[in-house]
Amino acid sequence: MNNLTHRYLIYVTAACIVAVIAFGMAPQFVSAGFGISPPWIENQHAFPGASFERTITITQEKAPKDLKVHLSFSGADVSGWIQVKEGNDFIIPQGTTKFPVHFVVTIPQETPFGFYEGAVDIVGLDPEKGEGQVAVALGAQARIKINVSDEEFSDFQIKKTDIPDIEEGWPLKVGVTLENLGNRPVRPSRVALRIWDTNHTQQLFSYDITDMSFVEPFVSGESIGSVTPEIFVGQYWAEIEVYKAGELTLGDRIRFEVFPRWGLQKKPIIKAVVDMVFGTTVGIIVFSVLVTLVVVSTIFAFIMKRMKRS
Amino acid sequence: MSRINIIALSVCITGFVALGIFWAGNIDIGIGSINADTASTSVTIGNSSPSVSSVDLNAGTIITLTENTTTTVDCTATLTDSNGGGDISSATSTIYRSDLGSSCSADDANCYRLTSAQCVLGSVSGNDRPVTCTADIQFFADATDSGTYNASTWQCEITATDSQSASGSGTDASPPEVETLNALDVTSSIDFGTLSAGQTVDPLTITTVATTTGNVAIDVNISGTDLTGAGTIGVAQQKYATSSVSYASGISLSTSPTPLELESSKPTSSPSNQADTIYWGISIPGGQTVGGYSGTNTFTAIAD
Repeated sequence: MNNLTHRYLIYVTAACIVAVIAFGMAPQFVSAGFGISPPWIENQHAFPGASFERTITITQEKAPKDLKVHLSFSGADVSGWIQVKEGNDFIIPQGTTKFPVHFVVTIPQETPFGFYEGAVDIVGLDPEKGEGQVAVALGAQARIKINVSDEEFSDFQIKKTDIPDIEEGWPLKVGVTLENLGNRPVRPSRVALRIWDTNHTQQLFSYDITDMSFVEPFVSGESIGSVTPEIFVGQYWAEIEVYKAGELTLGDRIRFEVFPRWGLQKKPIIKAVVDMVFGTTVGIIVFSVLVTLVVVSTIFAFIMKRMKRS
Repeated sequence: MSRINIIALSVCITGFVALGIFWAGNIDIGIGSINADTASTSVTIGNSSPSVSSVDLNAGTIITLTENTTTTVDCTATLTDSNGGGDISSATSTIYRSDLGSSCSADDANCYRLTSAQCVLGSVSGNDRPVTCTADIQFFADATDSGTYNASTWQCEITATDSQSASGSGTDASPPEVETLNALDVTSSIDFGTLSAGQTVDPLTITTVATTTGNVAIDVNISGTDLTGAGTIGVAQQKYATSSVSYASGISLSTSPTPLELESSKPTSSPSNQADTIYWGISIPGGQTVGGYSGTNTFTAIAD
C-alpha cells in the first residue's frame, strides 16, 4: 500500500465516521411514571342544562422537575361541554406527586337525549431529551361517558356522619355528608338519634329527625338536621341511624361534648372584660376599691371647692 | 377637713368592700370547714372492656393511590374505657377490602394488618383516648370503585386493648372506596444508536419497557413526532411491535395515537412485576443529512 492509497483510506474512514445519523448521543434521563385516578368522567343520569364537576388526580411517583401538562379532548359533542378549571395547559410544580384536575361539565339546554362518549388525553410534555435522542413522553387517557335523559333518578352514598361539640343551650346538629348520585336534590328520609350518658349506660333522649336539609344533584355535601335537648355540660354518646327511602343505610356511634357557655365560641371583648372584673372575688374587690376611690375623690374635690368659695 | 375626708373615705371603702363581698357571695372562695363523723368504706372497681367508636378511614374521603409507590392512609378512632382513658394500653388495626373480612391474611393488594407500633395513642381525655393507625397502601391495591370488586369498599377495623388485656373493636360506618389508577412508566428514551444514511434497523431490536404502575391492567396509545435536527426524518420511518419482528412487519409510528395491546396484567408486587417490552426499528432514508436527530414518542395509558 503506497502512501497515497494509505492517505485515501484514512480520509474515507473519517468520512464514514462523520457521515452517520446519530441517535442516543445524550445520556439516559431519570424515568418518571405517570398515572390518573380515576380514568373516567362519567354521569349516567345527566339532563339538559345540568352542570356537575368531576376531579381526576394526576399522580407521579417522582416529580423531579416541573411538569408541563396538556389536555386534549376527543368526542364531537362532549368535548365542547367540558371546562377545565386549571386550563387545558398547566404546570405541575416540582415535588408534587398528586395533582387534582377539576372538570366542570355543563350539558347544553338543547342537548337531545342520548348517550355521549369521548375521551381526554392528559399528557406530560417536554420530556428531557438531548440531541440525537428520541425522548419518551407519558400520559393517560380518561374516558368520558355521559347519559342525557329526562329520567328522574334519586340516590346517594353516605360518606360520613358528624355531631359537632356544642355549648350549653345550643341546638345539637346532626350532619350526614353524602354524595348525591342522582339528578334530583336528596336527603336522608329519616335520622334516628339516641343520646346516651358518658358511660353509655343510660339513654337520655331519643329523636326522629325527618327534616334534614337537601343536597343538590351531582355534588357531595352535608345534610343537616338539629334537635334541642336540655343537655348539660359533659361528654355524651350519640347513636345515629340514617335511613334512605325508609331503609336503614348506616348506623354509627359518635362521642360529643357539651361545653359551658363561651367554651367554644370566642367571647366578645366587652363580655370578656365584664367577666374578668366580676367573675372573681379579687376582681370585684379591686373594682369596688377603685370605684370607691373615684367617688371619694370626687366628693373630696367637691367639698374642697365649696370650702374655697366660703 | 381631713377628718371628714378620712371618715368619708373609710365609709365608702367599707361600703364598697362590703358590697364586693356581697357580690362575691355567689362565688365559692373556699372559706369555711365542715366537721363530720368519719366512716371507712371500700369498693372494688371491676375492669370493663374498652370500646371503639368514630372509626374513620382516610377521613371519609376516597383513597387515591400514587403510581409505583405507596400512599399513606390513616385510620382514626376514639377509644373509650370506663376505667379511664389511661387504662387503654394499645391498639391494632386491619385495613382491608370489605368482602374479605377483618380476619384476612396480610396481602398488599387487599389486607394490611397493622401492629400496635403502627397505631399511635393520643392524649387521654377522661375516659377517651384517640388513636391513629397508619398504613402505606401499595399502588396495586384492589380498586373498589369499578371492576371485579365494585360491590365492596375498603374497611378499617381498630381493636383497643386495656391494661387487663380486655379488648374491644369497631369499624368505619361509612367506609371509602379505593379508586382505579391507570398508570405506566416507560424507559425514558429510545436509543437507536448511530446509523448511516440508508440503514435500517431490521428486525426491530431497539427496546423500551412499558411497566404498569397502577392497580389495573392497561394498554397504551403510541404516537410520535418527526425526528428533527440537521434535517427531518418522517415519523413513519419509526416502526414498533411487541416482538422483534422484521421492520416490514412493524407498526408505523404516527402522529395520531394508535392503540397497542399489552399482555401484562394488574401488578401484584412492588416494584411492579408487570411490564411489556416494545421493540423499535427505524429506516434512515438514503441521502439523509448527517447530524443528530431528536424527537418525542408519547405513550398514553388507556383502559385494557
